[in-house]
Amino acid sequence: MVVRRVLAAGRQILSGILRWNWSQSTMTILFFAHLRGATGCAETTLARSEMTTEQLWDDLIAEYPRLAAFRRCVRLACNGEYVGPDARFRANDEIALIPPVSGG
Amino acid sequence: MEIEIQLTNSAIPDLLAPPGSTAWGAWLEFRGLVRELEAGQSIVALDYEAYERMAVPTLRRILEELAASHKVGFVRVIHRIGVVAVGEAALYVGVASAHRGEGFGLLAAFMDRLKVDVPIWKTRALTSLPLPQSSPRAPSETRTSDHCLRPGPATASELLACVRSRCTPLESERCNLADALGRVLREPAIAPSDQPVCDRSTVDGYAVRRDSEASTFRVVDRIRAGEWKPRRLEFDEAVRVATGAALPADELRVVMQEDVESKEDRITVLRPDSDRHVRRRGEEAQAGQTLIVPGRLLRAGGLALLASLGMTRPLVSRRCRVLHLATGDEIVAPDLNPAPGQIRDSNSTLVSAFLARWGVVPVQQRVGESPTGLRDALQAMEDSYDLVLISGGASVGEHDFTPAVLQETGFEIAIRKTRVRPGKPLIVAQRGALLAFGLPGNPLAHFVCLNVYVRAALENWAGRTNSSNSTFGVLSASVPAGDRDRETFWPARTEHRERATVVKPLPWSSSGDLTSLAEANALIWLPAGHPPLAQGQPVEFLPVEDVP
Repeated sequence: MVVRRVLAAGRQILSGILRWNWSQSTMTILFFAHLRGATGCAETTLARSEMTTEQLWDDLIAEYPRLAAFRRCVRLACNGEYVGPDARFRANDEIALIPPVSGG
Repeated sequence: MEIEIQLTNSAIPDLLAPPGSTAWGAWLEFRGLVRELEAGQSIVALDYEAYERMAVPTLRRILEELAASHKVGFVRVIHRIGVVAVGEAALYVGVASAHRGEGFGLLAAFMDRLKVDVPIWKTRALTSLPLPQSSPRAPSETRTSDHCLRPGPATASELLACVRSRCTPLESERCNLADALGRVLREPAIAPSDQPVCDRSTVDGYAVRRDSEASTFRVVDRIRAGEWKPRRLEFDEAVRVATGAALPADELRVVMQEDVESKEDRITVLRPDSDRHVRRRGEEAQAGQTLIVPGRLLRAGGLALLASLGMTRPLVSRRCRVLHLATGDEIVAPDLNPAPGQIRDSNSTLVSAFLARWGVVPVQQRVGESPTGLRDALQAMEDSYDLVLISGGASVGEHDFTPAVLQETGFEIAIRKTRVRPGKPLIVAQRGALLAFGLPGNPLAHFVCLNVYVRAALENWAGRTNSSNSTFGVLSASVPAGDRDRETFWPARTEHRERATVVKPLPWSSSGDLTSLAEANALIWLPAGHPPLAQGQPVEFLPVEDVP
């Protein structure tokens, strides 16, 4: 009886930990300028714990096909810094899609 | 250098005090104002959007980098976000320095960098001001005009920044060494082993132990280049070696055959020798050492190095794909005789020769002078092109149809007119990642636009995003005063003399003048309103002859 209760408690704690870990594995993707028009939103999240730039584009274009036309003129930034095509993203990264800029 | 950076929704004050320091002899202020459009739409405001988390650190990083080459004491940058009305400043930059030269230099360089790297955008041009309590920008709002509109005619720097910001490096691919000339390497070239991989002789002679003090040796073996015959050598033994031969052991030296007297199988060293006739293992490179960094352009020497490393399928930028449409009823193929009123098409030859220097072979078509011809050609175009060059039909006049046709086929016009001669009616447009240039019909304008702006696109696509090839030389003849409102690119020929590069401006009567083109290998870049320049005056120029 005691054993069963201990096991049940252990399972609850374990599933709590797993749920907590799962909710940590997301990345935020930000869209700017005309990309917002192309996607219909300013940001989205991807439930991933790690990702390459190829995978990022595949996921985004699957969800927002109109992004495909802009792929080659968009630079990627991760946590506020430009990254190259061989970047690897991790959980909780903030990734921004930067189309050609026009400040000043 | 002290830096103050601010992004704000509020108006930038009219009066901003310079920092209080008695060290500054120069205080410069620049305000970037929102202009009303000239031809076409009249706007009342621009709407600015920023990625604030990144914009501020990027501005700071740019200034810190520029501080290394421009000795300036204080910079204050204020950029507005949100709606900015015509006539108001969207950007303010204040620079304090000991002397004006460094301040002007930093300001100009900073503006160039801002327009390429800082994540701030003009997202809308408004034709009426929103009500004070208007809701924040929603992405589904219809935009009243195109993104990245440059109101008014563009300067050469603005054009270059616009073009570069729209071109990111193309994908990389593996190719054979023979096809890699002129491409940019996208992976490091790493020595797979020590270079050379073992000690080698650099002369014909005899290898003996370094620690041997004998002067007479018995020749026990002979090694030719390409042979591998390792062995131990005694103090009095020598091995005959040819130039390039692998030495049979470590710690040997080589005596030149001219320095020995040889008799049967014995040699006597006549002259004491130094250690220099051996290429030691690893002397040129060590295993794992990077010999070419990614981002380098591959020329003949680089290809030879890759061959020596066995990198016969290097990872390089893919070549861009170009479609060239030559419009105009007045042009005929060069091998035909033009009828009265017609001319031979020289622009197609100019375009293909220019692109050939980049290893790019364009698809070229002549289309008649009508919107239909151009529209049909653009609609029939395959999706795989990176660049469309449209020759002719760019002039703003009653026959101007290129911008309209581009817009009908889904392009956004980024540049409609320039403040540069030649090349005033240049068009730059984009559809997705496809870039289009509408080049003014005359050959000199083609020459300038190809070598200045199209070149910038090709460089970025090749992966050379930071390259700038402008340099300075000295005029060998005078140049008259420039147009008050327009910069000039003056075709020229450069020569290298002992102390400096001398630049000879070539005679140039009008934009249709081809005769100077045959001699031109440079373009002198003169600012708007420049005074007459005398022989001996230093000028900035862009070389156009160099193999990319």
